[in-house]
Amino acid sequence: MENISLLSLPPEICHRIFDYCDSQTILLSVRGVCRYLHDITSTYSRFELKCNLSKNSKYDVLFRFISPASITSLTIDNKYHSHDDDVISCLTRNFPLIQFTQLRSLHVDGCNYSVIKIILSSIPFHSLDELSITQIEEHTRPQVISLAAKFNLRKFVFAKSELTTNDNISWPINWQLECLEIGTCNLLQYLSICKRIPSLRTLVIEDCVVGEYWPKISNGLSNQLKSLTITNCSAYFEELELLFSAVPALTHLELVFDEDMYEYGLNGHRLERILKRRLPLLHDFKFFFAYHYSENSNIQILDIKSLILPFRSSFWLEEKHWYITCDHILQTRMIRIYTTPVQIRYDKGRFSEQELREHRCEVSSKDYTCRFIRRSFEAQITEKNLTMSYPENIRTNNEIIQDLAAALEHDDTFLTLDLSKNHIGDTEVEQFVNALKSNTTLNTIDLSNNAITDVGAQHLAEYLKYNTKLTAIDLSNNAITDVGAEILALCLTHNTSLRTLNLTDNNSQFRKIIEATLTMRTNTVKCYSCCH
Amino acid sequence: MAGNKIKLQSNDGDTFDVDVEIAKQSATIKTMLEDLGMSEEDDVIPLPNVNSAILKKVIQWATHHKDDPPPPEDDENREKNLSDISSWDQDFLKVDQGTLFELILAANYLDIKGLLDVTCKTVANMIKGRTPEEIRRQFNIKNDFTPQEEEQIKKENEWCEEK
Repeated sequence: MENISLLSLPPEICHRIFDYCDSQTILLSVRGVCRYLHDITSTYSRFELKCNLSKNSKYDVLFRFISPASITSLTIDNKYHSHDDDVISCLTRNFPLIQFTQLRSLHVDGCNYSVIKIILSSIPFHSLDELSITQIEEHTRPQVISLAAKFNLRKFVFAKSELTTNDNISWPINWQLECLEIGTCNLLQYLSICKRIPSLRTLVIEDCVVGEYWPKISNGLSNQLKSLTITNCSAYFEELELLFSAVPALTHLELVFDEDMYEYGLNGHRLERILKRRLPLLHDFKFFFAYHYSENSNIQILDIKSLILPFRSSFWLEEKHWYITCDHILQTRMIRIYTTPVQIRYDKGRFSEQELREHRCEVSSKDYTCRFIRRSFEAQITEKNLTMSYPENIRTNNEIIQDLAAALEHDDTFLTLDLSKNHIGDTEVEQFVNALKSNTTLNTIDLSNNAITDVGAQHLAEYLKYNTKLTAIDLSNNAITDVGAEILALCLTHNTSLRTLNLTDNNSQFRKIIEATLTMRTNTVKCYSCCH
Repeated sequence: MAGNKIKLQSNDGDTFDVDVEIAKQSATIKTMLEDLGMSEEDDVIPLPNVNSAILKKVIQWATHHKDDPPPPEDDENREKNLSDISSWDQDFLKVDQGTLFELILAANYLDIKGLLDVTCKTVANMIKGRTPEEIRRQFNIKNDFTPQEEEQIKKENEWCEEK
């Protein structure tokens, strides 16, 4: 077979590869590899250039060998926060803005109104269809919008700007905008956007502050808007219903809830009712909801199976095929409910590294089976042979235990379970051993430093009778007396796998138990005893 | 109709039976079938630019992706995210460079947008953030610039202060 190399690819395919590279790679690296690639970079016409404005910029050098007309996307970033005059002189010195005739997308970050005005008045009108302006002073926002309105834009992004205080913003009528992205707005602004930009198909807002005054919305305000995204939604259900009632033709909806919203968890029944009533055409729905419950909170948290149950109705599963996952990250006390697959633009910074990677109890609305999962939140990496250790000294409540137990029931990954120092009592032990009946992988359980009495010991003994995998149990520093110890010792007549049973520091004089155990068994069970 | 098969013939003479729906991911084949009325069961579609080994890989890819939603028509919205190559595709593309480039050429000839995108992305990942020397080593490319040309390029690269 003849040897095909990178240099065998025709220019148009190389250009396609360039489409996935940043302009620095193309211009600084690929261009300097060999003559063929050098020539191919000079015919490339879809550069996406990112420029940081500073006094030392030498973009004039760049434009001596690539044409401004080969740039389709330009980002002007004033990340050094240079003074307006410096920025303007740098721009006029370096950028032949008027020659950017093929510019389709322009992003301006951190520049003031006077700078934006110069940029927007210099670039050719006809080509631009996407404009994005980030971080602009509050009082100049209405002016920036009217500048932007001169362009026949398809998409306008007005990011990181809270508009709620800008009462005088007026959206130009007859703007043929299809996509608008803005920061937090208020209800009236939201309604006016829906009403005044009839061509709008996609609206992305950070949040909408609804406030006290609710105007009556009889018919939908926009029948064109198909896609709505709220990236940090703090609206309650009634408020959401109001927002939805303005856009009855919606087919795509994406909601990332603000963390402090619903401390009881997201109610699937109510969500279903609202979606049914207000958005009958919706077929693509994604949401992401996460909250931390606090250790000392009086709020009753629900176990994840109860949280996921409403999402198992025929509406979610059969009619819409929206599958929901609920997980519980025990380590950081976080519960999340979200549509799967996760394809949402949530801000990863909201989660600690631990929360993206830590193992968690997870249940999906598809099969209603609790599992332990340890894979990074997006990548599908499942690791084997893990130690599950529950954080020390967290007051466990029933729901946490329930989630943990439910997950252990179907788990085949964990070899050791460390639940030491967790205020675990007899009821929890009972829940665990019930869940562990079908588990065949665990070989070590550490229950030391808890509050287990003879009742718990009895549950464990029952469990041990039929278990063949477990080789070690640590029950040191609990409240087991002679009674419990004897029950445990007796169960070892049935169990042949256990090798270590640590009962140090319990309320028991243990000599006769050890003797009984050791005579009853010929294998190597070691019984540690306290000697007080 | 579902279940219908067509025969594809590679340039070394092997024929492959492929579901019509799978084969239609290739816009080239789709056009042949629809516009030229090549729908008879016995018809063999010759693919003179693709050899058996590559055609086999292409069919394997198309079979795995048969239920994918169609890629967006308009080129402007092409996904530029490099990390979004699925793990199946990543494994599928763990091949030698010759095969990778042949797959690109085949995807281009057969006009299979999804395969072309993912193979181009893979090559882009091999290029991104590398120095010219590293790219030469990676792809076994000879530096054919004269010292004067190299000097010129070095000068031109001064536009970028953050090298």
